[in-house]
Amino acid sequence: MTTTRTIRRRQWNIIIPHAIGRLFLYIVLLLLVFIFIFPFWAMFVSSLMKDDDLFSSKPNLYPRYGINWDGYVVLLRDYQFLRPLWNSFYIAIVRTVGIVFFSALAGFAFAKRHFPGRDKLLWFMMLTMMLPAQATIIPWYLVMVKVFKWANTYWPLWVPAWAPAFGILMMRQFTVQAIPDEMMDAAAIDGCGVFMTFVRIVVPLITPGLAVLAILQFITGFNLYLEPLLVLSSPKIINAALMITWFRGTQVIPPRWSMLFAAASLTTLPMLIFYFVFQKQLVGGLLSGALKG
Amino acid sequence: MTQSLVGFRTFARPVKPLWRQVWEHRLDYLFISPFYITWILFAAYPFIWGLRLSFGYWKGFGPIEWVGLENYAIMLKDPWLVKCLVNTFEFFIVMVPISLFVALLLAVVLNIKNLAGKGTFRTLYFMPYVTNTIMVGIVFLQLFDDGYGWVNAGLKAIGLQPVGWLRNNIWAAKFVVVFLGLWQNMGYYVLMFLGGLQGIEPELYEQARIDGANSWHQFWGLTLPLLKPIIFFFSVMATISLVGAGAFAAPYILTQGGPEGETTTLMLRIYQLGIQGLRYGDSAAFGFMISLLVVGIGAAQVRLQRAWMD
Repeated sequence: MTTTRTIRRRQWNIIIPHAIGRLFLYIVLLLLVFIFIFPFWAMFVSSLMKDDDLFSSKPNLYPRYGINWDGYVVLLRDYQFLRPLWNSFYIAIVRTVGIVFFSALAGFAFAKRHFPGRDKLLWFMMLTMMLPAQATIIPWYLVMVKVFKWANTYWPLWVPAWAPAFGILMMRQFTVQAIPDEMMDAAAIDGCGVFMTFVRIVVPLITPGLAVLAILQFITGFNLYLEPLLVLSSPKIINAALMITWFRGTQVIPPRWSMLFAAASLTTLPMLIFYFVFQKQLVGGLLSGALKG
Repeated sequence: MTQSLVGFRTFARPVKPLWRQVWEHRLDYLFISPFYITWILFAAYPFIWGLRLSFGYWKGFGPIEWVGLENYAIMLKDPWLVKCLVNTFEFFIVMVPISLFVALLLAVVLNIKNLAGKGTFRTLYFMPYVTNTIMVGIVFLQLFDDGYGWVNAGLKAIGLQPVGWLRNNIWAAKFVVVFLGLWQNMGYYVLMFLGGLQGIEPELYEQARIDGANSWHQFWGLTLPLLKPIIFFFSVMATISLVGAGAFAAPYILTQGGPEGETTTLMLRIYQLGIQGLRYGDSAAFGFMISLLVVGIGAAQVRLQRAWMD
């Protein structure tokens, strides 16, 4: 009896500081959740409020005076927002498909094939990552528009992005991790050609990696801003983010805040759904540590 | 030469000529070619083109007029150059260490084995990463509004002075721009570090515990050294994105570079010069300054990493 009591007393010495530590930890973690989530809440409720309620001296943290859909109605009916929203998707989809395809091919070649100059070429590719492509953004824009005559098309957002060093390195890492060399030898003995080996053996095994790359690039492509700002100007083909800054910048229309928030909500919501659907693949892939490169 | 007695050659097979090897691997070269082709067409070519442009004056059509070093001279005399450099450097020096430190800390916390709900925290922290900077910028404009913003209302509610966030106070404006960047990217950085942490064998910690190392020692002696490659990769990537496009959208939507130009980053200035001002030559010269800067920082980081790894 006495022995158990001493043991228990000793445990309390550990448990109480531990519990306090945990409590403190959870308070910090929940505070961070609040910081990360609150702007989403602000975005959605603001899109449902009249401008007067939004800019009242006492903030309305929820649509206290009834839900008001005017922002959405004006946005969708008068400004046809679905069009730029679809454009954002379209840009992201084609961009992502190209990136995944070319990155997987090159990643496979760098990981599993032995050809003269491979390591030097790989080294060179890594070196180019250190150069900020954006620093030459004005020459880039001029070349796109004046040399290639690609103004108001999606080509400048697609073709230059299709074979990124980042994606190729990531796919190379995944291929190295997922596929043992013996499997390559076996495929070669079976008379499987290089491309067939890639399609039949490599692609099925690196699907988790392809998913991560695709998800990350889809997010990036959907949210592109600087490049579209430079090369897109026709109202028919601009993307969602660009349309919003037009509203803000030109002041042609009175800046109707509920409409801006409705646009923000309509752009953010599909991406949130996309994220929650593919969350498992994304987190799983990133956690496998393939980004180390 | 040395033919062995039994009759087969002991020396190595004659090496095939290089062109032959290259030809046999033509498919491999085809596979990796998209990167090199796009790099030459869309990175190297604009780079060279821009270099020529930076020594010239161009109206946007016709031939480029050669003006020598004039653009560079104008740029060096321009008070904006120093201002933008300082602003970008401030963002850099604040954001990279903070995001590194906080992300690492959060990753270590979310890696605690018996912490309930850590998956949920991870998921929620990543949410801002999927948002569009412009769209979040709209929300931040309202949250940090001087008169009606919710943040100021919150400050008043707990008895503090409201702050003129975006228009009047330069440090507050800088803070909001930095905060937007941290808010958006923190979850991604946390996941990156978590990936690294989960790659560490649990047995190593077991061993350290047996050797009497407390969790603080374990972190400094075990976790941190093993994470070095990721920390390095992360800091290089963060630098590139910060000095480059990462430092464009946030100030562009939030402050348009104000107040008093104190949130104008190098990228924003390039845009203002080149697109809004149609000063192509100047902006190209400006771009090359950034390139030099980033390459310099990158080289310094590589050197630092070498010193640190040993």
